Amino acid sequence: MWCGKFLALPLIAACLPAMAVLGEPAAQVQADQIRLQASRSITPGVWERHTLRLADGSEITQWAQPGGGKVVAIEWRTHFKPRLDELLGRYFAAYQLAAQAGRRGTPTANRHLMLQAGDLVVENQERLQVYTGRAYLASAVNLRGAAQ
Amino acid sequence: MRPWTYLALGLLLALLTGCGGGNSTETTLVGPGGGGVVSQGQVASVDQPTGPNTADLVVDTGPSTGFALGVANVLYTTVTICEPGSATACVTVDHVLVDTGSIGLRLLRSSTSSLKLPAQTAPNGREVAECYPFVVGAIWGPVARADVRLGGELASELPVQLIDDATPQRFAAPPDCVASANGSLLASVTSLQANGILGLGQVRYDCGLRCQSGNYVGSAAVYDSCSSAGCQPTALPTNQQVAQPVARFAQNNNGTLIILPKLPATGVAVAKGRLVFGIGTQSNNQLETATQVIHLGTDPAAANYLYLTTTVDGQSFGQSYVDSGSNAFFFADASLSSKCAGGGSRWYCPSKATTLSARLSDSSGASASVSFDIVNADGLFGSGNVAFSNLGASTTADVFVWGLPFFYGRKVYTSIWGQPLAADGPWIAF
Repeated sequence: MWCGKFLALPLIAACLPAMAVLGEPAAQVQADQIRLQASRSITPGVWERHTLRLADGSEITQWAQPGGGKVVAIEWRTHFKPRLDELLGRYFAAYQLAAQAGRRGTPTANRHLMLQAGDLVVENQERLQVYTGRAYLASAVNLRGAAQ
Repeated sequence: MRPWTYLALGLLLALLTGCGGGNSTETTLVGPGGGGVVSQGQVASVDQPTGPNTADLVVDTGPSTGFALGVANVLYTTVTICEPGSATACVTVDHVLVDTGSIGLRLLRSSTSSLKLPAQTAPNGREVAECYPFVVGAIWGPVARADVRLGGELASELPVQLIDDATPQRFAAPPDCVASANGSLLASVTSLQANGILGLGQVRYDCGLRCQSGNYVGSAAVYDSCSSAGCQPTALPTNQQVAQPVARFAQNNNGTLIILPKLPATGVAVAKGRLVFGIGTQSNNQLETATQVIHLGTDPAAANYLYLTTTVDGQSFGQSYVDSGSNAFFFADASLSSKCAGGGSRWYCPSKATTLSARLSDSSGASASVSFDIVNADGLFGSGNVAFSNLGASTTADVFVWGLPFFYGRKVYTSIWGQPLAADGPWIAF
């Protein structure tokens, strides 16, 4: 999906792989770093934490099983609405359905969305040009534990 | 949430009890198609100040299809939009949502179809369309230039978004925009709960430098240049982006003041207030002696960027903000029951009214204390009223949203970053 829309941008002329996604191996994080033109830090622990920092101050953090294992949680604080279809991968369809159900009767300008769809938990908010949120697999991780 | 359950209960209460009493009663509101009493009840009003730098505000059942939308605490105003340079080729649109958490005017394209509004063009000469992302969904439609009148103030040649509610659309929404909308664009009165959105937030442009560069990597494109062949992401200079209307006024352009009445504990059917343009620019918008000013964070790399801090019972919420577009106090409090019978699981339904004390503060050390009540949401929604100063719901741990309930009984000033009085950073005051 990236390729078609961004071929004109010289820095990303090649068709780079999609983001490292929830529930999939963390091997894509390095490609994410290149594509987002971000700096990257890795913090070892019970969950390996990969943090990408962009020039505009945005930050995307992915928690994965050590050694490049499965991504179990993603947290973002960005100056753009991140592409959840890419971050959530195969969980995105369930997210969409839950989000559509959750917005019924909710004012358009309410700035946050919390939902659980099966194993997926998403907390998402925006205001002005700040977007924050997290997505995680409830069965795999307690996010508070991952954040440590 | 609760629309049909509470609609039914509200109807029953209305039929059983007549009207809600109080100082004044509202004219009976009639539902879609003219059938059935939907709501009768008390009106609370603030009718001052007046003047050319003011406009009416109302919290009521919403546009013509009103109560069926089932939303509470939505703040509306009326907007007049004209062809540039014309005082007669205009349409007036009521029930436009007033949102201090977003930027720019967005109206349903169908409501302006009688006007010939010039399209905003991209550097390649093609028409510009925008995908503006809210959390609950995204809005898609072309960008045009229009003269926008709010009260007696004029924003000339303002870039505005026309929410594309036509079939077929002027331009088909790109797939990444549909994904950003969680699969379904917000493009109707029903999905918007309004005829449009008036973003009166604290920056001047709705996207800024990211869109000026045109590098949308990591997100859906915000601005596209479009032709019959389709749409492609485009860079757009900030001064051509959808903009905060107030910042484009010739005067009274440094912020807004929202004044809403104090409400009884059970809420009211209609709350009327005043929207005042400018801060400290006229006799009717001066900061009062007791007004407390809280600055928002200004470092884009910091966690408190554009936030203030709220503390309740020793618990600190670092992502806190005052927002007319949110319809409740949103914060996490495990001591408040969220087991509501008729609504979703996020509303608070304590068995008795709960009073809480909070402190709003900023990094400079300024702070202000606020006391507020949370009452049972089931009871509020069952009243048939739609304006409540004590409606609360849970949200993410670090977040405290001072939504519309905060505004009742207060004067809330919202400055615009970059304008006089807020050149070094935005602030709110009350």
